[in-house]
Amino acid sequence: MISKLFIVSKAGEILIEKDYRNDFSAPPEVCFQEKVKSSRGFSIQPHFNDNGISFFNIQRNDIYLVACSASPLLPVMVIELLTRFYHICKDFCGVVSELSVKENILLLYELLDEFMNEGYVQLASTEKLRPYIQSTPVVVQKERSPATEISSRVFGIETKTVSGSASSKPVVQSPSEQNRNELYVDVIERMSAVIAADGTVSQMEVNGSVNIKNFLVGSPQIKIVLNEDLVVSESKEKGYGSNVQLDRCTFHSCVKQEDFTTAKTLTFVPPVGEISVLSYSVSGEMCLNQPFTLRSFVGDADGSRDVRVTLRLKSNFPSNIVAVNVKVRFSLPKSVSSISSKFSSDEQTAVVNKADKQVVWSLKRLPGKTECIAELRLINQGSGKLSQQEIDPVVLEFEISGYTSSGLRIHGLKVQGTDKGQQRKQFVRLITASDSYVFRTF
Amino acid sequence: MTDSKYFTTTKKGEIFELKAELNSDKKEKKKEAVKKVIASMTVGKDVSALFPDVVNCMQTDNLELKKLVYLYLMNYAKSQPDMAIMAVNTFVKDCEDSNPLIRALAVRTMGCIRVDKITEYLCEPLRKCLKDEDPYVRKTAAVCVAKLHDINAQLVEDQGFLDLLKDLLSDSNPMVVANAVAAISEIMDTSPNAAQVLEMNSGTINKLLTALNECTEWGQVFILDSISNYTPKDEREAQSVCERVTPRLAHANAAVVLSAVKVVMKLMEMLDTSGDYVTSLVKKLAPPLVTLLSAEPEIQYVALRNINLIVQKRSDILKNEMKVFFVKYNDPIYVKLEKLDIMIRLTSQSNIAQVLAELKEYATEVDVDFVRKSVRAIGRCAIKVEPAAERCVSTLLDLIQTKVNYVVQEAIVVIKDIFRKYPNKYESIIATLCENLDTLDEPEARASMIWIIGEYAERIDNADELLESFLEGFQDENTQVQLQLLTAIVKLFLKRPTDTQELVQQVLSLSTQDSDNPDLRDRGYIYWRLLSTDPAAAKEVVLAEKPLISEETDLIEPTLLDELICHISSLASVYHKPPNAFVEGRGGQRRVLPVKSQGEGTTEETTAPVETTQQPPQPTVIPGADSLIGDLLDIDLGPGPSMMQQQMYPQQPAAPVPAGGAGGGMDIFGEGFDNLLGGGPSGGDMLGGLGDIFGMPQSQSYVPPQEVWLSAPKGKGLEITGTFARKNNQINMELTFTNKAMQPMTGFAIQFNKNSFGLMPAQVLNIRTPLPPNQSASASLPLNTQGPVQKMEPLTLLQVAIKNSIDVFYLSTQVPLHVLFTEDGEMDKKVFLATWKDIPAQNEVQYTIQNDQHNADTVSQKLRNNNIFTIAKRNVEGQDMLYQSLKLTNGIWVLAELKIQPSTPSFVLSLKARAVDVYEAIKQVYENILHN
Repeated sequence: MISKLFIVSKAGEILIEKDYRNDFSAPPEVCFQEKVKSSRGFSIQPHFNDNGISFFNIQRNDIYLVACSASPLLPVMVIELLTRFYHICKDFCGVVSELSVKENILLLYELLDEFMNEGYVQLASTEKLRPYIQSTPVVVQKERSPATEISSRVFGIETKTVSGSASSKPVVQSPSEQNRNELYVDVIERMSAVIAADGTVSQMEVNGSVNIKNFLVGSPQIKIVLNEDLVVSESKEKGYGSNVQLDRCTFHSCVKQEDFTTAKTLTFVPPVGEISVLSYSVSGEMCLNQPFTLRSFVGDADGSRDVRVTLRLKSNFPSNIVAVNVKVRFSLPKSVSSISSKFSSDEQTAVVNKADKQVVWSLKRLPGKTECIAELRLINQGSGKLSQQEIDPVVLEFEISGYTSSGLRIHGLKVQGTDKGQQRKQFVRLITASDSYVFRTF
Repeated sequence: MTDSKYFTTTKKGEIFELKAELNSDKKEKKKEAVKKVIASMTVGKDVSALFPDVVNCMQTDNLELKKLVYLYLMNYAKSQPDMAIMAVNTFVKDCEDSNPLIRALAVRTMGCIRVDKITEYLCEPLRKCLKDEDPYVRKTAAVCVAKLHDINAQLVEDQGFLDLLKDLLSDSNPMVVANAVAAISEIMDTSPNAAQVLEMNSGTINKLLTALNECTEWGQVFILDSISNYTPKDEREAQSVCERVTPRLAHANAAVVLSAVKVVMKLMEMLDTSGDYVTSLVKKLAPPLVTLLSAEPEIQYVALRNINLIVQKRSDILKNEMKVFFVKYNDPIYVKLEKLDIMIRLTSQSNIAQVLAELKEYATEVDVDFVRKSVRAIGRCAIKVEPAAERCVSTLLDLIQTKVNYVVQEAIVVIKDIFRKYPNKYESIIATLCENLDTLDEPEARASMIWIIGEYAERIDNADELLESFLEGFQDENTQVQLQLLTAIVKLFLKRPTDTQELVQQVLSLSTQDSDNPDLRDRGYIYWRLLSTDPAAAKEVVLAEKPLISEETDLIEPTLLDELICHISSLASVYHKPPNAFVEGRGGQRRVLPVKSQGEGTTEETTAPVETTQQPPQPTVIPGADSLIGDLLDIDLGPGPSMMQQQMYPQQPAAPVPAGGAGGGMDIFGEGFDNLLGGGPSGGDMLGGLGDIFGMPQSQSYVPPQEVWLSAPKGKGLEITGTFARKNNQINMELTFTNKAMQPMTGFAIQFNKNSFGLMPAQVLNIRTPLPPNQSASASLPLNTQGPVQKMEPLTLLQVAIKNSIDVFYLSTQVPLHVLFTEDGEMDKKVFLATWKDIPAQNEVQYTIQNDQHNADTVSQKLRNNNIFTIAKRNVEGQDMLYQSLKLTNGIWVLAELKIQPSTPSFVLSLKARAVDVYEAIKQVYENILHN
């Protein structure tokens, strides 16, 4: 049984706490606060034990959600619970951050009370919780942070179709906007790749998911039609071809799997809130489109010990699509503290990030079918020559909307059921973003 | 409107203002005021003064306001239960409210008030709520029963709440069932009376399996966990359970997946391994495990810890999934380190090239811990996959060329291991290694380098110079380095005696005369003696051909692994330790994997409880772990920080391992007896087997003769003689009562004072009464050790009070300590060695036991009968050395070394324990047993 749940800010402040069992004579959160303070921004292990008390935590945005217990629990379950609680908070408050927690204390107290009783999980989904919650949420303006999970970033990118704040709104609305009738469907792919110096792909993988955020009135059935030629196969032998080949699929429990096998259709009646109806993975270069190619040339600058690094980044996706927040990073050799740079176009910068010992070349936007070149000169203050190893590897970060590397598309979206006169809004978005996209230089 | 504004008021007279607002007529104003009160409460202000005013607000039909008031009450229910009880009438009333939300809220809040007084109010509402028409109320009430049980267990049982709970098990609402199960299992933990409610048999399992499809995901976790504790009666049942559990493997909840994996892993043991079904199961297990690795990093971490166990048990499951364990640059460090471990486990000849390329990349990353572990991993690859060794070595050499200090040091440590796996193969690289001598500042790296120099002294021209350079700062070195240096120089001397005499004398005098470290001194003296008495023997010992280190030295020991497999997804699987190692007094029963039934006739047997199937440790992975000899062979270089403990004793026996023999390492100690006997599972058993051959009495523990505890004059005619015995895991007090008075005696009773080991009678004294004059009666009184503990002087003192119809008599006696030696006092050899080293030298005490003529085997047998287990035996210069362990009922371990010289009739007993107080009594036990 979980004895206590609490939320701690990055500075170690307790934002809210709920003691389910009164097991402890001394408040256990003190121990975690110290851990936060001594971690200095490094990740804290998801589970640790202190004086017989088990602590479990997940870090999201600028807060830690922590559970502790005096009895032995299944760690995976506790972490899953914390993750679930985070998603519930997100559904109810729109954004979960230090600020929004502080603004919604009463709401969170209510949620904590219904989420668990005496340390046993009770109502662990937005839909089930909704009838029991009386408080109304306070919406906090979203700060756009570059890191953290992709699904929360999604809405920042595609400003053309949806206004930025629309989807960071909570599912539980104040009475004035009760009649919002909206459905968001997102296909999000996170790409990992390792590409050797000669441009051959030594590893490429996509973890994708079809997420929906459901604000529909009534509980209509939804049908999502995917690519007709979609194949799910675990065999290692994959054929060349333009069809979408998934390695593995996991469905949300509300999805009728038969329809998927026969018609490549996801049919389901979703609960309110955000859920992932399908998650899948694709691997191998044959089944994936490479959005970028990057060539790097490292050479001596004439007549000095400095090193010249030339990076050529080419986008391979169609020209009507734009990648944003493109960043190319590589390690900063020890003896280098400054660089000079030259770019092929504006809107590009290259800076030395001393804290992470990295050089970062950033492009605000990069349209498809274009090539950018950065010529960087690393000013060597050491006496020896720089070796290429000190730079390796080059890491690429990007976000592309309207594009999936696997080719998975949503060919149709039907909301069944009759909503008389009510205007329904639905949005479909495709996003591909980098997870760990690495180019090796030698 | 935001909540934060409530947190900002700091004006004086705030409480007063709030009081006024709380008593306002306007609903909205009231609500705002309560919000402010709660806000103050959250930031730690004391608003208890407003209690009556807040409670007044309870009389409302506004649900939001009501919830807020309850929130306030819940908070003060914890810290000031007496105040909360003031509101109890309102709670009782609310339990009858028409709104189920309010009924549940009231019951929940009442359960939080932990004072005895609440129970008289709680019982009736609770009973009603348990039968409420609304499932939301019923589920809340179910949990409340557990709370009430916590306050007053007797009441819950008397009022029949357990039966009401049991009824809820067949409720139509899954949430209610889940809470009822949770409540029952919590009550079961503390009260044995409830145990019969949830008994596992095929019937209940069947019900649970059916429920699996209907209950919530969290309930599924709980059910799968219960199923994993159940052992099906035969292969067919195991398969059918598997079939019904496998669909859960595709669940989106990681906890469900891991629990399902646990059940399947466990039941697979019962299935025919070559059968198609197992093959298909193995195929089904891989995708869910791989899917877990695309979850949140925190889940990944737990999953990886579990996968680490799974691949050790069944490497075939994930053998084709190497790529998913490749490290991503943005993985948190805790995920990276775990992935690395699993990569090595999955490395084979087919994928080594890929793995090596990855590891080489990792070795250039930023994080120091990760880089170090990657370098080590390269070394482990070399040891594991022989054809790739050369490539690994050249990769390591490349890394040494980077001159990054910690990379070089790690590389040298692993190269030492490579040398031990492939001797005389890669000496050509020694020159490169020597170039880096100056940069080595970590003891382990220095020790490794010195070992290499000593080992290959004859091929390194300036070995003497190199070693001499280390000798300069000898006193400041770490023990590990000192020991290594001593051995290396002795090796050098034996290889090149002409020009290194001075050096060896220097190191011997440094380690024997100028050092106060006993390990170093002893080793120095041994070498000195060896070299001065018989250089040829010295050569044979010191330069003996060393056993190769085994491939997978860091695998978890098979018995432990099997136990951990039964604990997949639990904390044990994250710690890689059995639960009893970190949870006190819980799960006393070890979980053991079931075994496949053999043939048809034996199904009967396999229905017996699983715990009888504890297998003897299989030494295939950790070869005979005795570096007592290893010490002399100097190969006890400490383990790396990343390696697990077993690495400490990696060598195999020098003699060829008997095919299929159990304890290969026993050869050194058992003088080949295990060949003779077909390999006993352990030292103790083996010697026991010998005892059989020699026709010695078996398993008769020593019972001291009865002594007069109470003389007749003192006992007003009652004479008591008594002694203690241990029979079948049970301590007994053997008493004889003799009536020397003129009248019959009745009404005997016995009681113990607090004593050092918590001994107390396990049942009442049972003797024939009345006891007529001039007659005797004997009684055997079973004792347990659950009584109150108080340290006595001497330790074994036991004060007893005995009552009869005449008077109460007080007597004191001494408990012979050996009755407190438990049957599980046989320590694992490795553990013994580690413990022996771990206990500080000042804890060691030597005794001489005079006048004993027994030989080593008789001694072992006699001691074993009294739960002193001989773990290893070896013969040094005609003396038999027995290494023994024993465990007291209170968990104290005592280690002993018994030196038996055939020529003299006395033994030398050295004892080591963390609690030195027991020594005197233990010595007494040895004397008594051996002289008997």
